Amino acid sequence: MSSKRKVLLMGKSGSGKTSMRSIIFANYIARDCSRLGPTIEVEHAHVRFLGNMVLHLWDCGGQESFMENFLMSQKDQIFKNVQVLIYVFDVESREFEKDLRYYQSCLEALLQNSPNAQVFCLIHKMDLIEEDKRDETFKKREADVLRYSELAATPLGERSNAVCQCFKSSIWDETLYKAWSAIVYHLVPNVNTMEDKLAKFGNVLEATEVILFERATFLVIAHAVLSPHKDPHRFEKVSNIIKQFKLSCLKMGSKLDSIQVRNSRFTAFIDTFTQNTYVMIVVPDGKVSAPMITMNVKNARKVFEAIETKQ
Amino acid sequence: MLKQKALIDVLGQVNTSGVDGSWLFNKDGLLLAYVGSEQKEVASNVSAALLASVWTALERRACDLRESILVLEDSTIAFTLVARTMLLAVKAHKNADLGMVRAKLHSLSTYLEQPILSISHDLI
Repeated sequence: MSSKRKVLLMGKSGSGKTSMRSIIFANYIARDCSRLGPTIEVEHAHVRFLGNMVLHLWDCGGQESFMENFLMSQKDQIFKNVQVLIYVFDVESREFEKDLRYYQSCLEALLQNSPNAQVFCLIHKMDLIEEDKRDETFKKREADVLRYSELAATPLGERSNAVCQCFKSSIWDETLYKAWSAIVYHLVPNVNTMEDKLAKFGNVLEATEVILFERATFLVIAHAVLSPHKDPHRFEKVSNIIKQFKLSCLKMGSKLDSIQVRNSRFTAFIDTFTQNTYVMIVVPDGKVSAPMITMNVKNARKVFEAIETKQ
Repeated sequence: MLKQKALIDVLGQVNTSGVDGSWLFNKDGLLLAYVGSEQKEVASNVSAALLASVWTALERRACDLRESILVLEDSTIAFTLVARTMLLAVKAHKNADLGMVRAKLHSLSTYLEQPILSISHDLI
């Protein structure tokens, strides 16, 4: 069964919608994004995610004339049957109030046409803010966004999913992967079953962590943490680093199969798993046998392939 | 699924009266587990690789090779095939009784045969 999901990508012009789409789904690296020109009207992209799930991305140009069009004449066409709206704000924008008003209108249009859509906001270009002020700025922007979300949602009665989730992001570090992983997490069915199985798998391997990555994008789909770790951003860092490495492998004409990192305190394995995923296993033992892990990974593969095909 | 700790427990059971090391590795020489005194000259994964290459060399000469025993200067190593794809080896002091060493090797391999067959069977 193939399931199609319509994902709207909106926001002011120049806020970075096309850049982030290109990095996550089209194997761009961050510095290539300077080559991208402004998007005219709507660019459609079909992205295969997790094998049989197709994300239909509508990358909507952000210039005001387009925005007016979307909200007036093309309102039905754009906002019908939407599963997810991703609204991108430029954190450095001088007219943040105006952005918010556009956001409010978009949200209103969305709620009328697809009442069950989920909404995510990205406060983008966080790298332009000084490091110690990032949290503060983000909190302020988030509060504004939430306030306007409520404004748009209240006339239509009680709705919990309109009150969106905000993420800070930047194409220059791992926050982009964090935001998109969180969004994708809501789109994948069977996530709970997968996490259950991952935890069981981790127990057998005596691992501290088992993480499942989507193969093409390297976004985190599911993870099981069997003992706590102090760095909350580690998954996204790994996503970011391994994806870059995978792209370099592709340039050499070879395909990434597996990686093993070992020191005296831990061993980490990254291995191709099912058709659509990579798995990463962290074992707190520098001497654990690699063939044993590989064998267990192969054995677990069938179980996870069965869960995936059930989707 | 194969649990490292459980495997180590089982392999460790033969390490008594003269036997001081046991390995489980696949035919490619990749070590799954070693239990016993750490050898000074050769690391356990290296000896596993050497034993695997000895096994493949002998197998080429003799068809249907079941078991082989290497008598070295200061020790004896006996190894045999488990579940068609794996090799099990035990190392004993040169004074250890060879019949006892073989008996241990065979009872361990019979014990491991079924479980390992069931997990490696799925892979082919």
